[in-house]
Amino acid sequence: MASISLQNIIKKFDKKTAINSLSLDIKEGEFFVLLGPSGAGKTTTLRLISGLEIPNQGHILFNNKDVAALAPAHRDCAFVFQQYSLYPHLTVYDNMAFPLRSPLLKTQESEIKKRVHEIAELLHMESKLQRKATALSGGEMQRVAIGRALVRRPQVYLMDEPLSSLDAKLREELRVELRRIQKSTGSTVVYVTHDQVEATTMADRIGILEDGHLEQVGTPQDIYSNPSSLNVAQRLGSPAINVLPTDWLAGNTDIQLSTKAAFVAIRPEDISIMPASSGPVYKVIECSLAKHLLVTERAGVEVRVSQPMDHSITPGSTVSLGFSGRGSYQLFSKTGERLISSN
Amino acid sequence: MAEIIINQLHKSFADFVAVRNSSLKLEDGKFVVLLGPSGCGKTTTLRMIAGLEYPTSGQITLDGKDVTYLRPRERDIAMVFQLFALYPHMGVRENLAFPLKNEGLPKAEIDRRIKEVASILRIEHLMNSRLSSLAGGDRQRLALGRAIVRQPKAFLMDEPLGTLDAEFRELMCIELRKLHERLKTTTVFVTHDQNEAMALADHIVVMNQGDILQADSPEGVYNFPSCVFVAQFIGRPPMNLLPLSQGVESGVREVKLGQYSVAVPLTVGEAKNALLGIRPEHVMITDQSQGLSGAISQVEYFGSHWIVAVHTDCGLIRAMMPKAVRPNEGDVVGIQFKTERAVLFDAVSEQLIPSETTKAHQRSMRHG
Repeated sequence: MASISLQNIIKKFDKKTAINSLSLDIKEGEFFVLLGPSGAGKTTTLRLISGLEIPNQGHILFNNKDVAALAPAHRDCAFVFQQYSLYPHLTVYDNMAFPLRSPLLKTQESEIKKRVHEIAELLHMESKLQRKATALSGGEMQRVAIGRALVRRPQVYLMDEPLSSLDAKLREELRVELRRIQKSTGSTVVYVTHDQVEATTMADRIGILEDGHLEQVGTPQDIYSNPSSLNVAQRLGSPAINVLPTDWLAGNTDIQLSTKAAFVAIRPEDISIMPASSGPVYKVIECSLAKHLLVTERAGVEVRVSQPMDHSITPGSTVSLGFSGRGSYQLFSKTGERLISSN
Repeated sequence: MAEIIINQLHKSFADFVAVRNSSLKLEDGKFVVLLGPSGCGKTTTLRMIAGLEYPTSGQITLDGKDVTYLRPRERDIAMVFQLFALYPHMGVRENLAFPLKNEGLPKAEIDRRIKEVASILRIEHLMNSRLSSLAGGDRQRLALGRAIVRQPKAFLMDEPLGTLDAEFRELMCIELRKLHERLKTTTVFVTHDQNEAMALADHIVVMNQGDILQADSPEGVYNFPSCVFVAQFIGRPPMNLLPLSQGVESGVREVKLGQYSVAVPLTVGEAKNALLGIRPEHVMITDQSQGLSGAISQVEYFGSHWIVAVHTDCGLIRAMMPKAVRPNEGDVVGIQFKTERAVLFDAVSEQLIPSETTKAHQRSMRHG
């Protein structure tokens, strides 16, 4: 397993800059998630690490050694793509054994058998090893694709949205499984996703990628509770963080609103619900007990509140909300920069 | 406005029963969600209401009028398949006008309706725009406008949000609910997504294998699931179901989980073998290691909260923990239940064992 270092990487496609002076150190044995919207450069970063793309500038190091001269096969990365790509004429077993039989690895058949069965068990595919790949459901095919990467012991696993084509239940299961396998084998994983639940539940650290540059790198808790910009604050959290105009909120909170602040960002779980009373009231738009979510509105501004509720609150009725300065919140300027408040 | 009543509706395709003798009253002005896994009969039910399928037996009435075998266009009901179907080569106004022109309405009436819909959806300022210049949210509203401009008695929607990504789907749910608040048109909405159902519905009808398992408020299906299937289908992570060590008698306030007594709402039913059902948010983690306890075997961070799985001698128990704490795998913790929300199931029939609380809920549904 390798540590990976990206140093001042620039990657252009024609005139468009896909990656703009990106520097990042991924530790050996780390589960690192690159999170960002489509077009942010997540997949390009993975392809640069694997050697499928060559940077215009900058260096890529595995275990402190520059890999610029190494072709993809010799960098020894195991890639899992979003869309499973299996050999349709081969069985599940042979699909998973395939990378181990490559001229570079030339693994013994007895060792192959051991590893394939080990991984197949983890992925609940043991009973289907003799099936043709085409006789599987979509979810099963993706598990085989993941399994084909896991049978190897590469320098690094590169995973590009491997769970996004699966249904919710399977996604939940595999999220836990992948994390468990990674921990028990001590593998280095670089995992690309736009799904923030995958990011917070799986990552040791997350890198928030935006327009080809890293906005923030940190543990899930760091980034969630201490976002460096409004953009990052909105990237994590479901339901999404509330971004409230300060002039709209003024007078309804004991939060110290500095004159520079244009927005206050408050997480839905840090707002309390009270019966409608004097002071501003909020109209209920949506109430979901299962999601612990209440969506309300006042003067054209929507406020999402996340609290366990015993009873459903009828849409159309009104409630009061508590924005206490004791909870966590952040202040941002008009352009979305974080303002560090004095308290 | 319409009240739809389904009476002993049955539909079979050769040997396969898609919908089994189902009865249901869809109240005027309500947003009703038919929820269930694929193959449960929800879409078939919707298609029979629309007139796209005819039942094998049974009856459907719309405002008291028997429409069971009427053709779709004679029912004055709008079927929405995909909210996102817009004509890319037409402008905003043309997209709204198109369904009305098809109906042969006079121009003055078309103009009046478009104006009304534009004001309801707050897209008046976009009426002369090109489609390509619209932001995502405005496109959603326009697509909704296409459905409501016809002013049907009821909307029937078949997984209309199914193809959208998660973020868009949530936005669209809020849009749909707001629209329903304004129009109060009877809506029947089919989905397999419990989040959509909980967010949108006045009433949820949970179906499985052709049967209606529960027709209730979102609160009802969440707090008082009628059976094990509903308990596990709704809520993520699902409700904990723990086998009890003794049978349950009627009129008791306590049950035995392993060697521990657990307080429950007063029972009004019994079972020889029973399961205790309790949601992760009603399980509290304590630092007590005596009593019901175990080691944390799995930790997941969701930003707003943690979900932990605790390995106890009574089974694996999932609990929700506030974000301020930092649970670790291997930590030995104690477990307590907020028992006022506990439910019991017969382990053999998998049906709810009624309690005073569930009875009170059923009474309130009948009278309210």
